[in-house]
Amino acid sequence: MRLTKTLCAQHLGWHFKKHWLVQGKRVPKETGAAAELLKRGVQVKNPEDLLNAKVEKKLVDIVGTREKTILEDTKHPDWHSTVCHSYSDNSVLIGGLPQAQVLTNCIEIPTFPKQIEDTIASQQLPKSIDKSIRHAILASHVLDAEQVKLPKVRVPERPRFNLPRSYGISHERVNRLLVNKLLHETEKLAGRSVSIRKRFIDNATFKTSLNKDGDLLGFSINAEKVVFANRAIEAIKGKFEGDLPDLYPMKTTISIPKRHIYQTENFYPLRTDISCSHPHTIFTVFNKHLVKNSHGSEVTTSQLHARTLVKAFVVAAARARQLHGDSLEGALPKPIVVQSVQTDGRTFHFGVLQLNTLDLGANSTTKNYWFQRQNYDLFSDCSYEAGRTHLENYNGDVFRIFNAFYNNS
Amino acid sequence: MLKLNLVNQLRTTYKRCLAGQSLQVQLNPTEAEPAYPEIRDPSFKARKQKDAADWHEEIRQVPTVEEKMIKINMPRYYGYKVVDFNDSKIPYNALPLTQHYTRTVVEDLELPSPSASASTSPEVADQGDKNTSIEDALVKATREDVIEALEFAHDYYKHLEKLPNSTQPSDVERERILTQIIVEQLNRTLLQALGEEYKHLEEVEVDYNPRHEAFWAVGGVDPPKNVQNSKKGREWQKDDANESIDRLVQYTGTPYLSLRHRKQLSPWKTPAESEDLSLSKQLPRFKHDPRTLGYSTKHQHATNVPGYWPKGNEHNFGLLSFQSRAHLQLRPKSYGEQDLQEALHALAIKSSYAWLLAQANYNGFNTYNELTYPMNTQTVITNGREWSFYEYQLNTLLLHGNHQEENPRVNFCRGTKPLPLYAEISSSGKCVDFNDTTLRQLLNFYANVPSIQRSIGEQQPYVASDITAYENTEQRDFITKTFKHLASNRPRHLELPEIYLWEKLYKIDNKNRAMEAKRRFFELDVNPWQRPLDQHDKEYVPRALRPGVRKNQNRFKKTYYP
Repeated sequence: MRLTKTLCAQHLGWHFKKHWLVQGKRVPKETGAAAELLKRGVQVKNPEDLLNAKVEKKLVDIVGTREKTILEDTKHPDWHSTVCHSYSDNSVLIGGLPQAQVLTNCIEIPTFPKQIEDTIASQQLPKSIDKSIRHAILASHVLDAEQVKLPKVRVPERPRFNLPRSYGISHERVNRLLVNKLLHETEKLAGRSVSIRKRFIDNATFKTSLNKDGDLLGFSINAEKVVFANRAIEAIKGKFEGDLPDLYPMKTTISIPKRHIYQTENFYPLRTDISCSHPHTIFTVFNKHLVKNSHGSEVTTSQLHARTLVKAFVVAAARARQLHGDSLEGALPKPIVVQSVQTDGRTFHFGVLQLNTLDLGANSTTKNYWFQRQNYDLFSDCSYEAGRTHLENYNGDVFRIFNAFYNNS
Repeated sequence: MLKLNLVNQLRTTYKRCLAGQSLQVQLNPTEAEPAYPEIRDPSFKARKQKDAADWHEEIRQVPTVEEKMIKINMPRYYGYKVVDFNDSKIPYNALPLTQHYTRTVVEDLELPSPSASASTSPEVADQGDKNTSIEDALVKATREDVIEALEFAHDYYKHLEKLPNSTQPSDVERERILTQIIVEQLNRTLLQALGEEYKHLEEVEVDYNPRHEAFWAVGGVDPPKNVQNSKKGREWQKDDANESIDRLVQYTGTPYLSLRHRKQLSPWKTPAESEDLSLSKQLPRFKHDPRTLGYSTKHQHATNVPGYWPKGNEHNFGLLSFQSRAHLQLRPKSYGEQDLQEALHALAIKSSYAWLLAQANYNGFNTYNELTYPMNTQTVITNGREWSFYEYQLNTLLLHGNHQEENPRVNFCRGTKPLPLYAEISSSGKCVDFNDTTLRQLLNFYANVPSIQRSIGEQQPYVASDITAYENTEQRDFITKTFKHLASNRPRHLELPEIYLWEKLYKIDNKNRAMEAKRRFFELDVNPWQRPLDQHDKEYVPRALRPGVRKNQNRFKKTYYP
């Protein structure tokens, strides 16, 4: 093993190299010629300037294969000096539902509104409906023929173990099909008179920004399926009292990423004068591979509920701003009710938000209402096992709530 | 075994003769003519044909749908070399090739119009009048809803485009997005509006962007150069070098939407019309290699998927599918109007044929086992504004080998020109110049009641069993896993062996390394493309999972290839 190169100091070639090095860096001797010429009034120029005259290079604007990315610095057109807490699809509120409540100025009511509770209790569904729903679940979870590479599966006991990647239906597609099929079944039950007053949209974006106690909050969310109705849902009757939870020592904006680059304009995906433009129900998908806590731990149930609430809030706020103008602050002339459903294909969380005020400050007297119940599992297991389809512990209640939500007006 | 039997037979006959018995006694006295076995043609070609026919018969005998699919894939571990037929590429002058490859006759579809019934005979006219009055009522009832749905879709799309920070998608992609919204809105509106009148619409299964794939073999195509050269190199095949060969075709497509039902649509061509040898002779033939038009080839397993996995006999028949024409934007304008129309026909033909073929596969038929009843479907090609309507009747699946010449049956496709549903959406979001004729045609497609229901034996004559009925769990597991593995076309764990360039130069073209040990596959005369599906190491079962047996017993998992 040779650690260093042996120095062949006695080698003639080495001597020549060193000599060349020294001779290569000649320093011109001061002859006094320049001083003499200057004295006689002759201009002296540096030979370097004459020999290597500077040529200005023109920048050629080359058309690239893609547009140049705009650097995210202070020169960015959307750069603001004030920081904005930007809540997006993949954000998780670390404080869970209490944080979401404080953030949106909502009090929690642990039941659904009375009219929905009544519908759930009193609705008469045909006996065949459970069979159809079972089929819908299987058709979206197992029987669809899409085959894409699924995310890596990790075994907690053996974290470095690389299992073969499986091919199957992607999470987005499972949820899209499931929600579509459930809606299809409800519409069949409801009949034309109800369903004609509603319209669906896939992947609608909603944006809004609000001020809360001096902090700027920006929301930009995407709802995988939105039901629009031609009439807004009636405000929920009754007065509800409650206090916001105390988050001390946490700040309400904790875990919402801060950005300097943002847009504050309001966005609602439909214009107001179209026939079905009132938000009725939003369906959002929870994908645990995309929505994560920044420290890597699993999203808790409370954080999941918070997500349902914030999504409903953004839709309602964007609608309120669209109806009453961007300058609207404080209590709304007429409350806006939005129903929100979050699912990961198996677990469903239902909630109803009534937006009474856009004033989120701590001193606000009016509060918004958030009605919710706990999570429901549609089933415990749905898979292909040895060539046979398996659906275990199917829970019929979920569809009953689903149906009641759809028929609520 | 077979040979031994023959010997035994001969021996008994011989003994009998020795004993002085007459052979005539053994024969049935009523049959004067002795039954001789069929005389076989011992020529190479005939033997090849016999082998192929035997293989097709074997496929027919395989009991389940999944196993049939595996059986078709058995000869190739790395997949077949297939012509890539997809729904997003239609080269110039594609219609003759598409007609040849699907054995389809193209006709014009008559447009429904209120005045059309007047010209027909009085009885038919009576019924026609009734039908048109119902249609008129339907058009009147749905018109407003459809316009509203269109305006809604456009408004949503307009907002979608306005979204800040969104990257600008290409024109093709934009058309896809808009059309997907429009088709879903219209489908929902029409299902609602017609649901009360037409009960079959309450039972339909809606597939969103389903996966449609089909595999088939086409005969009568000129052999490519490599096949010719290989045949010319063998003395006994020299004369057949220019004979036409079979090309394998794989279709892949994703329509916007498709509707399925458990009953079948009724056919619109009688069996007599469908079996017309002169008509089949008139079909255009495109004998050149499909690569000359711009189609490409690839290696993949044969897959047949009509959008879902096989499960019993629910909703196995297609009703309607909405195809995209977004990629037609990429065709140069210089191809002309006529070619655009032909491209639409070609798209309709291949998508309808492929979907029906995939459905037929789930009923036990395939490209080698002929249909026993016709199958029908309806196809709509749309970009939201322009709508082309097609009806397709599948009568035959036999296109391979000599069937290209001899098969009297043909498939039928009839379609319309692209009809505008509206002229434009004005800047205020209002629909301008709504076209009732287009809506009427669309309603006709939805109102076409699927009425044919066959018994299971009739519907699936070649399917003897269902995979779920197998008692052996291991077998069920093996078959479903293999089936899905083939359908996914995921890359093989070990890639196909490769001949490196230096090997080609120094080992194959010039034998410069004669003293080297011959270990590479091409030196051992192994053709990796010919590797059959079951030629792989069996899966090892750990000893802990097989208690009670000697350690060298049952070391490997059983395989259940058909």
